[in-house]
Amino acid sequence: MTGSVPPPLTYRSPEGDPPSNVTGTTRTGAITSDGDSMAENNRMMMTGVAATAGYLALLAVAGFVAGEAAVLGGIIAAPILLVAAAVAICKRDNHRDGPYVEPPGLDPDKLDKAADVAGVIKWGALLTGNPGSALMAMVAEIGFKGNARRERELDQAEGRPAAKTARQDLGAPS
Amino acid sequence: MDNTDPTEIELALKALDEGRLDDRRVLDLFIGSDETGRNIFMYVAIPPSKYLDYRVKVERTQAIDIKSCGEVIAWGYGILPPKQLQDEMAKLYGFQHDWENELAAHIEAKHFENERSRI
Repeated sequence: MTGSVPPPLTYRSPEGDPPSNVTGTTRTGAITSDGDSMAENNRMMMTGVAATAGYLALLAVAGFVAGEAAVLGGIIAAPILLVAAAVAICKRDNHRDGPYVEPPGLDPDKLDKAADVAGVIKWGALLTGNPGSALMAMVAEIGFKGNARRERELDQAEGRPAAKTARQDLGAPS
Repeated sequence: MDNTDPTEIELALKALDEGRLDDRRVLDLFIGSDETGRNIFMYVAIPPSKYLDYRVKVERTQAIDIKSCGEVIAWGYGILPPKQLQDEMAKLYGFQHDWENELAAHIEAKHFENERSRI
């Protein structure tokens, strides 16, 4: 549907003015523009998924770090460095001098934070017409969320306190 | 740190910040509650330059003055918009109510398929 003219935003609610301060959740359902309808964006995204499926594991990490670097001011290196940096960002803090030594591995709280950042980057890339970058960020978001869940399950299965709790017990900032 | 060669994402985010993409709108369905705790739904048309800020506020469950984020094109009280309004939004704006979930599920399936093939 490239080239289609989007409908004007003229619909008005019969209920008048909406209330001001609200809290809740949100879901995107369409993006209007001169050239790209939602259907076109959707098609591009799905095509992109199929094309990059073989590289998703690497892209997941690289996409996140590239996004994080963009936010921080730009630290772009070779893909192997990006992978290393992503692992370092989410590594658990060790408190070897304290009463509790956190196990090696990834910190679920940091992974959640990483997922949040990747989510923001995803939408930035999508909005700016970069479905490939959006894909990387989205896969990163899903990957980080999945890993956070897995780390928490492992903590629970092995009877370890959650990483956040352990840090608080030690007086460290959560 | 060499910062002379901005990445594609940096350039894209810069264009976003500067409002150079504001000829389009992102249509979101916001579902939540107002100050009195009453359930509310809103279809909001958001300029891309304001979208990231909006999304971050929502994720942080901050109270939002929705009118400062974009144009509320339809709203009402309730947990979900009535079917008739959903159909109208789909017809007028191409709004796909399951688009974000569908896309995420599709990518997740591909991701795990890839993970399985590597094991």
